[in-house]
Amino acid sequence: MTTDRLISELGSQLTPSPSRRPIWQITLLWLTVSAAYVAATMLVLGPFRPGSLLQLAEHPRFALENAFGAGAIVFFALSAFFGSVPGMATRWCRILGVTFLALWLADFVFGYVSPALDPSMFGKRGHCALEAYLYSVPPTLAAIWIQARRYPLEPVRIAVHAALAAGMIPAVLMQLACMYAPTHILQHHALPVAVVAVVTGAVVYGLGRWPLFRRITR
Amino acid sequence: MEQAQAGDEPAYIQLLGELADAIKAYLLARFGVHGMVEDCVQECLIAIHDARHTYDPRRPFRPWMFAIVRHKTIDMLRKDSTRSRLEGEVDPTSRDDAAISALEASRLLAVLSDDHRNAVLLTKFWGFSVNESASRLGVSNNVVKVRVHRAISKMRQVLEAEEL
Repeated sequence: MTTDRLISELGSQLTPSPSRRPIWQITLLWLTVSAAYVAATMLVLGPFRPGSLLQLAEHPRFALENAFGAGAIVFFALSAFFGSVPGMATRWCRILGVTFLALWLADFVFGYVSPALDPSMFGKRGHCALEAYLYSVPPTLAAIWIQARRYPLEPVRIAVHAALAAGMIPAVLMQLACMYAPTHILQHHALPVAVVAVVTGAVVYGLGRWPLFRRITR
Repeated sequence: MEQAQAGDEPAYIQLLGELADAIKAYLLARFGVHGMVEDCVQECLIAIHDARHTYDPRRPFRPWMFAIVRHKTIDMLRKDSTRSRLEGEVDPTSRDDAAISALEASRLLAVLSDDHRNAVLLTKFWGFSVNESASRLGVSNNVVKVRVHRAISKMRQVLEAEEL
């Protein structure tokens, strides 16, 4: 087929495109709804650790630790959604997301020597790791759905970033809802983030090889 | 594009015509004279058509369009060499020397090391299989695959780093 003929055919297939919300609004909406959903579900299934909000005010390093986590969530979410629109700059989001994630994790590793709070089993939730896995699934699926309805050029990478953002939400909230001890946090709150991200990447890679998926989501 | 999003067919056809010329010029400047260019232009136009709903009129058009073009170009390079083999049933060595020189002199391939460039030229441009390329280069199949992968990654970095 010649290029001129292709252009005529594409022209004849033209239908008006409905105007869509700017992607930053979608990102903000996703962050707000996901955080509210995770926090509400956690509250329904068990109380937050008593006094945890006060600890945020009284222990600057604990507050900083949570700020690193929150920063990672925001920048991975920005990278995940901005990456679904061609031509949007995402490199700085990626770099900042990874930086905040590294700082968040490094603070727990440093916590083996000097923890931000005194390690204690006070406030321990029975199945915090399982909760962390389960809570991150709906926001991850929602994010992938939103991404697929745009035009992601690197679907696997941005899906992994969406999963990291979604997985970090319960992980950071668990800082306030569950016991504080670096080993427990790394094993039961942070590890699920990595597992969810790897599984999401593998699933999206698999789905991407299935043309029907792209057709359904468009 | 804004008019096209509103459903204005003549404006859309005019836009696609202009884009086809711009994409062709962009690809010729990077890959030289090669049969892949026309196919790549068409793939890019189809991708732009599919992605037209993601263009935000408040943002500049060029970064949006060239992000798609770069992605499609890399995609085309990654595709198996089967297509090239089917197209070029003639002996690859008998191809037009001028075209090959233009190809070899193209700026994008010039950034690659000799090993990487030879691997890409043999598998992606001249249509040899990995096996054939490996025996011509005197290395194993895995080495050819690794060289092609690294070469494409390098070209992607160069394309992404370009100011458009």
